[in-house]
Amino acid sequence: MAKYVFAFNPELCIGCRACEIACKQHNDLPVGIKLRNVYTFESGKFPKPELRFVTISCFHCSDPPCMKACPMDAIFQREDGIVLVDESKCIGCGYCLYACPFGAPTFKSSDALGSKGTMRKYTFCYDRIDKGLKPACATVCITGALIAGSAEEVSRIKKEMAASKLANTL
Amino acid sequence: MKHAVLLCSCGGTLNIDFKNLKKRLDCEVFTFDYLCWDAVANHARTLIERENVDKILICCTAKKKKLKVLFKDFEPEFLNIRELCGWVHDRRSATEKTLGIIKSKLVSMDFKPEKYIKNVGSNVLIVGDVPAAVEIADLLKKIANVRLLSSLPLHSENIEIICGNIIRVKGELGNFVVEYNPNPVIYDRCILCGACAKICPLSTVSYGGQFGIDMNACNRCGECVKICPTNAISFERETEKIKATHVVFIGIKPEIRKRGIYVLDSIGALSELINDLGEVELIRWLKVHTEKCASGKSRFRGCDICKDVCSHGAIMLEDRPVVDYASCVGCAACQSVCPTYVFEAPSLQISAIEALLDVDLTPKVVLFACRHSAELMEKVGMNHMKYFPVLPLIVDHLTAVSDVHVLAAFDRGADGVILMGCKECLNSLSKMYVLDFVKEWLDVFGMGDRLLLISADENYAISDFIKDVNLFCSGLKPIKESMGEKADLSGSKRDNLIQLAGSFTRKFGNPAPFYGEKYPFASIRVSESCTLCNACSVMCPVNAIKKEENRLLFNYSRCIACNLCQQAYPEKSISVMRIVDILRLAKDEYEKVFETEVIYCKGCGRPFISRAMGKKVWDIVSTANLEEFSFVDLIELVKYCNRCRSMIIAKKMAGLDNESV
Repeated sequence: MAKYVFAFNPELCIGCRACEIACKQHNDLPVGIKLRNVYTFESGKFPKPELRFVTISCFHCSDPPCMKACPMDAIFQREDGIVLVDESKCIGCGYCLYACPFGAPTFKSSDALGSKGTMRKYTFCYDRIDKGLKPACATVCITGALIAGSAEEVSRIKKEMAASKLANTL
Repeated sequence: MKHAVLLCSCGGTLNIDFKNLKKRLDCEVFTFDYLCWDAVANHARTLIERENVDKILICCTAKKKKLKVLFKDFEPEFLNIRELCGWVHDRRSATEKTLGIIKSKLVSMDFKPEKYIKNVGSNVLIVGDVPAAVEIADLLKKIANVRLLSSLPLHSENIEIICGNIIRVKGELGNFVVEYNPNPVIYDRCILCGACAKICPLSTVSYGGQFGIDMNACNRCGECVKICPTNAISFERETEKIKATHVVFIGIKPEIRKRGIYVLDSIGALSELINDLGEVELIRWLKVHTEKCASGKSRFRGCDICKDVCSHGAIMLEDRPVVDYASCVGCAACQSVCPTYVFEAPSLQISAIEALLDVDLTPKVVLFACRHSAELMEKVGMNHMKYFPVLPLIVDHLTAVSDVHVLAAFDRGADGVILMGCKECLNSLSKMYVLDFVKEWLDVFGMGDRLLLISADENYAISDFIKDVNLFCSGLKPIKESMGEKADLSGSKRDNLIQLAGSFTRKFGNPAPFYGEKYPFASIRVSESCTLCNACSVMCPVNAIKKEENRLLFNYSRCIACNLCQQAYPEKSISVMRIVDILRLAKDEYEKVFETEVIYCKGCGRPFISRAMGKKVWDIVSTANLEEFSFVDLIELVKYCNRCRSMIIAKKMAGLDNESV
């Protein structure tokens, strides 16, 4: 089965947060819960200051530490590499939150030392993937900074983009 | 809402000081001598109409039916002050007692459940295999859609007969699903050749318009299956379901009894069925606050205290409790046991107990009686037999009297409490923990002799009642008019119990704790293996467990012993011990049950994880095979809190990790 991956190119991201909003809308998320976050960083020095944007979410690791840490076996990995949580099994212990090196699991309130509620995380829009569609976030990205799909597809798109960039500069 | 009280002296035979009563009741009071006479009753009606009254309380039950019709616009309630007071006590006691019960009744008059009409349909399924079932089906056909489920083939021209063996009935009035095993003979394919009947060695195949096998006698030898020319016989048919609004059993006993399921063994059952066809008036006895229910979370089952207490089959506890209002009679047993106040019934108000006790009698004894057993007191009154002036509070079902009500009576000045119930009520009470709980509660305060339980079954005579009541009351020393405030009993059940625990300990000293497997009170113990994860505080349905920095806090007063924390705890370090400690209950405070060392985030410096959990997490991350993240040091990353982690990885991705931001 094809592995699903996504790729992000910070040079193309314009910080429009469309991916964040598409994610909230598609998953019908309540106030305060975001499964995809866009970070803004200032860099460079006067007279050449710069803003950089990064969108991150669950990376769907190949060997997910959250899945290993879950005492209830509520987190599982599909054959296509998508890591999901069965909320009906989750007891909200927060092990996944601490085991994830990227802080991806999200809870109703996840203050340090006191998460509440059951875990939610970026699902790769598995319901859209199953229908043959792309994740909501990648679909709405207008600059192509965020691309998603099977591993081959993503590497093909990356190559094409690099080629066209090269063509433009020539 | 304006209330009026109609008092009748019953021709001057009542030993009650009406002038005194009138002075002390703060609503419209009308007194009569012969209210049951037509002329007087009509005169009373004109008087009330003039006063703009909404509801009236008629203190005369002699000709209740007639008065009920005459005053029907005023939603009349009735109170018997003749047999209960005026004929059985001396003038002073009778006056005080009358005052108490009128005031109490006036309070409870305002709490009435909502009534509504529901069209439940008339799709009747008759279950039975005797010929009488066909006859009754024919009879009912005129007023309802009738089908018959029978294990044997029965002859009928007009009725649809389904041949099969019943397994179970689920659902409620208007919405039943009947599961059954269909007969092996498939009617659609059968050509009625009769070959099976001839070959069957045990003669289990019979004919009645269709062929059917008596599954109780059949040994499944398979001869009929072989001979059938159309393959119409199969012993592997799947169970089927039929929907029906009413289920009638004839000659068979159903597993459950509730409204909508009838056993036709009497004319009464038949009239009940006919009454329930089509539109029926139902009463919404309960408000159900499902969001408070502690029955479970995340596949763990928690509190199931209401599961077996309903004697009327009205509560189905699946994931959350579901109430079948058609079967509910408002006995409030569920309200009495539920520790989280999921069920709210208007059956018995604490303010009614308070009003009842606001009288000048010593000692004050409250008698909670169910409606059935209260008839005994009327018999006593009929015979003009004198007894101690106890203050009766008559409820429809004694199950409505919970531990809080009995304790509240003591808090509001009662010196003793008598509970009197009929056989049915006491049977229902025996399934509940509340009575034993109250007894133990009073015992630890040395007040065990202030509670009397009277079982008023058919053998209980009026002389027994007088003897028991007089003996109980004469031995009661009045409780000294207490110092300290009274409990604030306006909250939910647990709030009230906490308040009562406070007021009891203030008044009667410090009690010893006691054990009880069925009481919803528990303390928790946390072992050293705790890693301070969030499972227990997330699972706890009543917020009895809370996390604070490096500590785990527990509030004994809120714990309902649902065991969810013990079941769902990943480290199995919580043990729940049932114990009732009234002193601790009164405190309503969070206390520390566990403390451990925590790690601080390398970035922001805030505490974020316990050392024990940190070790576990590092072990997992260091063994994870994550080649795709070779550009970051994952072990280093988990030394930061979850917020700093995502920030660091984002910076890496932006190619800024070497710059200061």
